[in-house]
Amino acid sequence: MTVDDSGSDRSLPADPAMSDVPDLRTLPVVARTAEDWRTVDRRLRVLVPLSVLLSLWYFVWLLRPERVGNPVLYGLLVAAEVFNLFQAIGFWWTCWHGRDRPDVPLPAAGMPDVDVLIPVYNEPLDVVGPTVAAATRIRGGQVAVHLLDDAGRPELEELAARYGARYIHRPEHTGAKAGNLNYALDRTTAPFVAVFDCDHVPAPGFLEGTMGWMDDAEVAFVQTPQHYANDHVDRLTAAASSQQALFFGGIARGKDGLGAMFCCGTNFVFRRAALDEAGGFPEHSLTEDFELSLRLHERGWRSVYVNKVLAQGLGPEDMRSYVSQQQRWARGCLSAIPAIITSDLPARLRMQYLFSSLFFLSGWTFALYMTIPAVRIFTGAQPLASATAAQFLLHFAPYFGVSLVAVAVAGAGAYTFDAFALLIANFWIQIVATVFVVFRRTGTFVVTAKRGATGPQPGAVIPALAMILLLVTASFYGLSQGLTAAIANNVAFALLHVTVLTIGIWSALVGYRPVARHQLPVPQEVPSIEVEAAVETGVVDTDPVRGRDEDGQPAGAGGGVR
Amino acid sequence: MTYDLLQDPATGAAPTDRSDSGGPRETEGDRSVLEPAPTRRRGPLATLLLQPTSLVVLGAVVVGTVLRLLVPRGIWLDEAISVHDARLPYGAMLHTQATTDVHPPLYFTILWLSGRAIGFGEFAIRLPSIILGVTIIPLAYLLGKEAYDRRTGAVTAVLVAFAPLLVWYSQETRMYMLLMVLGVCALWAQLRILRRSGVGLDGPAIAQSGWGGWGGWWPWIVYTVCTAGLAWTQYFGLWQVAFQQAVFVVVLVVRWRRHRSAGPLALAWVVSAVIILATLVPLAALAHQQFSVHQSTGQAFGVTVKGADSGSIGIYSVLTNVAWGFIGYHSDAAMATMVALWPVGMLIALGLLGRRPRPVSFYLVGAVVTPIALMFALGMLKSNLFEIRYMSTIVPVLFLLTARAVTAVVVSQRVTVIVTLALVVVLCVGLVDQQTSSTNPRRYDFREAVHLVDAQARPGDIVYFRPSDLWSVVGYYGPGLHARSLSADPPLPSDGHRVFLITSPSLMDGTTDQAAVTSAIDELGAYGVLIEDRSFPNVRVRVYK
Repeated sequence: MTVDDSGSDRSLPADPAMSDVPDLRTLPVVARTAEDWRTVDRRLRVLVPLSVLLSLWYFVWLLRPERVGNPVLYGLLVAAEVFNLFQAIGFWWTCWHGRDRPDVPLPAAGMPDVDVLIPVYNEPLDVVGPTVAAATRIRGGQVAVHLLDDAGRPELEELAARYGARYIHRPEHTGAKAGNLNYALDRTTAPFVAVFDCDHVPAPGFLEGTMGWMDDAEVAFVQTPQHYANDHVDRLTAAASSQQALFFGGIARGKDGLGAMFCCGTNFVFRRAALDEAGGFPEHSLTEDFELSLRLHERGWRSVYVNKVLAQGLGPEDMRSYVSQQQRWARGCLSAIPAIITSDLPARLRMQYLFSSLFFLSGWTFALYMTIPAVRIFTGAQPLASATAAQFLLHFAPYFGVSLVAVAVAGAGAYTFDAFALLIANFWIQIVATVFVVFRRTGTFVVTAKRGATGPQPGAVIPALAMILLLVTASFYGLSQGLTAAIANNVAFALLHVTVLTIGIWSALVGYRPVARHQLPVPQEVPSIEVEAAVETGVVDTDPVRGRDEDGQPAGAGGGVR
Repeated sequence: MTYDLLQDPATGAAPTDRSDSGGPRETEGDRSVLEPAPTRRRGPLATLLLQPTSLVVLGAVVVGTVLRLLVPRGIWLDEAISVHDARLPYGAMLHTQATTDVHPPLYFTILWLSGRAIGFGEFAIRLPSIILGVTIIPLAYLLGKEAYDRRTGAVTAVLVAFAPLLVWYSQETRMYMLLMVLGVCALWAQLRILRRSGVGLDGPAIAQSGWGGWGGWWPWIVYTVCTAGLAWTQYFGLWQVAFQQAVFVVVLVVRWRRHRSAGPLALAWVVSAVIILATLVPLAALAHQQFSVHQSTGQAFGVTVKGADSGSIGIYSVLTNVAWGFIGYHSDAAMATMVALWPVGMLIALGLLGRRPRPVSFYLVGAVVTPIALMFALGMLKSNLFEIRYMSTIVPVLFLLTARAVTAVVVSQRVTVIVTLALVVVLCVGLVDQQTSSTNPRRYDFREAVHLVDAQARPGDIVYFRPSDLWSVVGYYGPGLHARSLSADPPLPSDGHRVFLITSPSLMDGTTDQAAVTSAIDELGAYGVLIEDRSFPNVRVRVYK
């Protein structure tokens, strides 16, 4: 990396292939084999029916009239539990249909023409540079790389020129990322279009891994996973990456099996004809990819998911970026609900879209679960009749435990406690998003920052801090009233929530803290990336990063990325 | 020596990276290669003792010994029965065991021998359990080291030293501490056998280390002896035996299905199993006789002990037993409060997300869950059997798993020490309350009660007790008292003499005993005046004149 006198931000990145310190996004990650996924599928064949049975066991017990404690709290609890059961059923149904696609050769028609679009807003050059460089090395097609600069930065034009990419800058900046892409679509002609966010470095084999599926003329797009290459540099990036791994592991495989995989904004290749038919990327939406997929599925187009990491990007490195990303996703997906309900989709696809959108209402249930212990301690009111504590545990614990195991298995061990805590701690995002959508408050497309702030950001987690304060206060108040079994139980619940919330917001409290890889509770394994790019540089170790054992250590005696 | 052997099975790091925590495994013949060359020549014992983990374990043994020697309570009914039996000639003791007891005779034989050597004073009768209770501390370290690493072993040893339940049974003249020691040894031996056989429940196996794939003599001898010992100590020790045998079967089947050599291991297992079965044959005859006698007297499996849930068992009973295992015996109210903390279990479950437990962890969890599940099933038939002491083999393993949770989550040595100390503080609070609180339902102060009666009773006075099982403990503390079991219509002394009534409400059944005492109190009240009514922990003495 070169740094000139005018400051690093304006300096052009050196060719990553020539750098002594390789970009994280060009390093290899471990391959999860098809056999691994078959093992996951086999285990789910046992766990899903068991989960269904245990959920019945719990709900039949819960919904009996004699369970009613405080009617209002009981009603809210039942609503939350039913909502989560609905989500759980969607999760089990989706993961049950997990599908792995084999490698398919390139289209028989020969090397296709592909426009590679890289939209850029204000990201640093050292983020964009490796992406452009890698895009020019993509094999398997006549590739034309286009750098879509929405800020009009001369250094980006220079960067594009260095790698032989075309520089496109639009005079008006409407429609955010979708507008930027549509502007470029109007000025390109290739029958296929690949899109990479500017932080996502494609592997040379990206088209070889995806274009074979385009032989089927009904396939509109092929999506590949989003993998965060910086999953190991900070607790937040590790947690965010783990969340991605669950979606792009068990869930996306299942959606693909049900023909319901939607476009996820980056690392996909589109058939231009499909895009044209849908009128390009929807510019009014915060999640243009989601709504575009909906339109295409409605028109009978099909989607494909290739569960193979063929590009690596950067996850949000600070809480503000994470919050902004989640807010955008939540508002975008929730605002799509009316369109889903009124769509002409087959029931199977409609349910899949609904499950994905409604997930962003989960924050309401998290808030309720966290509030109940405080309400119980302060007022004595509780949703369930007090005499049934042991029965509650007997009926709830198996349901909870097996559901948890199902999540762990479906994510192939990739979903961590930190990821869960991060989700819970940001419950308020989904509440705010719901309010905004209900009251039709317009949102702006905020690009997720690719380089994180280094200092603490308590302002980004104020609602979680408020909830912690409430629960701690309730706990002290409860203990001051005398330590009965009921108080102890509710204080334990409160402390459970406090622990989860604290871990979830920890990164915001302490700031960016790079930690040793082995200290992170990162997922055991992540899917594979083709390693040619890294290997070609000759500066990285090709030994895979092994899974993590209960120490958080690499399993086995493998090497690792050095 | 291969590269694999040089690597830490846990981290893959080379041994030069290693501090004492989680040091390289012993690979017997490779020890000299694994350890750096000493700068000054020390004897092997000095080298061993000067290791930090050795010092920690040594400290735990010292503290654990002191804790076990501080006995704040007298013996209770079951202990008194043990002593009574052990005082008999050996043949008579075995006969008594066969006709009146429900336990195998190994522990009683030890007590019989120790009684002949050092007598039957209070300290003397507790000494075997105290010795076993101290011995389990280094054994827990060895099990932790065998399963994981030295650091985990050391944390386990510290926790076991302070564990209230282990201190409790180290001071009780019963077989439970022997059961736990044998259980730990059997687990250790099986882990060693499997590792030496190349099964490698944890990290790389050491099949190449010259054991021919069968494990070697010593582990098999230890395993066989301890397994037989488990059964001869307590019938419910068979749960662990069943679990461990099942593990061998599974391992052999898996090896066979993977076309890996299983012959030497299978042969060793068969030989061991035959020996164990041979030792169980006479035990089965004894068990049959005991069961028949107890069935005929309607007692089935012994006395009812009042617990947190003496009526029926459920999930709270499981939690109560686990809580007893961790924090010892406390008042029912305290136990109810502790059990109410079950959401902590949810946190632990969530904390496991994204972690892949090692096979050895599954093994240890199996060693805990199997006895609980089987005792729970048995408890459905007779609820008071579902009690931690009957499945006490799980207690050291619970502490090993706790230690493992600490060392798996905490990387820093300093933080490990802090977390361990925090756990020790919790255990100490539990220990103090268990040992000293009069609300502990397991504490019986027969000593003070009987001594009071013994000091006051004069010729012509009558001493009654109820329930009838109290004959043993009254006989132990008041051998000169001519006490008798209280009937519903007790003979009364002549004028001027007193009647002493010793009762233990928590040991009485709710119908017969209670009715007898109520009736007797009415009659005694009509006969004379209640001149003294003293309560001791779980014992009450009434004096009428």
